[in-house]
Amino acid sequence: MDHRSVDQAFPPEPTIRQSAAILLAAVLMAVVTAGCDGETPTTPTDTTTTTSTTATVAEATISESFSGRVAVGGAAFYSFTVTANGTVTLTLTSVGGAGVPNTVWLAIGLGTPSGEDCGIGSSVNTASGTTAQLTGTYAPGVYCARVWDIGNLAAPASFGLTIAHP
Amino acid sequence: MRREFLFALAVTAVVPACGDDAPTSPSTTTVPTTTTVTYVTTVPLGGSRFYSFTVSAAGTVSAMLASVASPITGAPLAVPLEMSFGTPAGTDCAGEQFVTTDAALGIQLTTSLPAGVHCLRVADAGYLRDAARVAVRFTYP
Repeated sequence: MDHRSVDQAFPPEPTIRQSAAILLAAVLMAVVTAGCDGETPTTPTDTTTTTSTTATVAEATISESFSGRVAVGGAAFYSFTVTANGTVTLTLTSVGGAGVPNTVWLAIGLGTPSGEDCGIGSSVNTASGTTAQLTGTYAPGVYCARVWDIGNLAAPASFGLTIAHP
Repeated sequence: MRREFLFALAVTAVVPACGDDAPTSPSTTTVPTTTTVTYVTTVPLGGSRFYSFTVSAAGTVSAMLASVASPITGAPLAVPLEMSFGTPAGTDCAGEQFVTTDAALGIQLTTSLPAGVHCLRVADAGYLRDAARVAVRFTYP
């Protein structure tokens, strides 16, 4: 039996000094890592700040006149820019034309220009008059006023619309 | 024994430091989205047409006059038209960035616009001899 080959297959027993060194290392690691508290990650919290604001509603200071023509079953619109949060009013001041009684009702509306038309947000059916028929409060931006036939026209109608806005 | 002590000390030195990191806030990655519109309309002789759109966030808009053709025969017309970005005003679109161009497969007009309502306008630049059927492809954020 070759004793040398057996000695090479099994590593020698650690000496007492080596064992002491390993034990010392283990103790030191335990001491160092003992300071690590097992904190779990906290979930960030969202802070919601509630602010109270009072919106100022500006009065209409600009008046624009839109004179147009509505075909039978048709519509027309006019774009304008509101520069401050405030009141916008529409007044259908006149409706007329050959074969169109001046008492005929049309629809008027306020909205936002979209595509080739005006996307309406609010509207009212009305005859012409001298007081505003449609009022709303709008933030600064680009808007449009639209006039259209609601099925009452037998011939194209001319109209006058006054748009007042800040 | 001193050598073994130094070895043990060295082993402990490589132990990673305790993490005391503060929680990080989750980050939000916003992927910009764009809208592409192909606007097909007929520009009358000496006239114009426009299309309104809403830019949701400030960014770059671009337009390409894709085709100009006869509305009757459909034959292509080698006629330049005026194309512009602007703001709807009254019964028109008040152009702010203009270009006069022939139809081509490439961006002919690009600019930056703030969020809000804008419009793209196509108009006869004085070269039309009759109405023209046009297609404009434009992109906005």
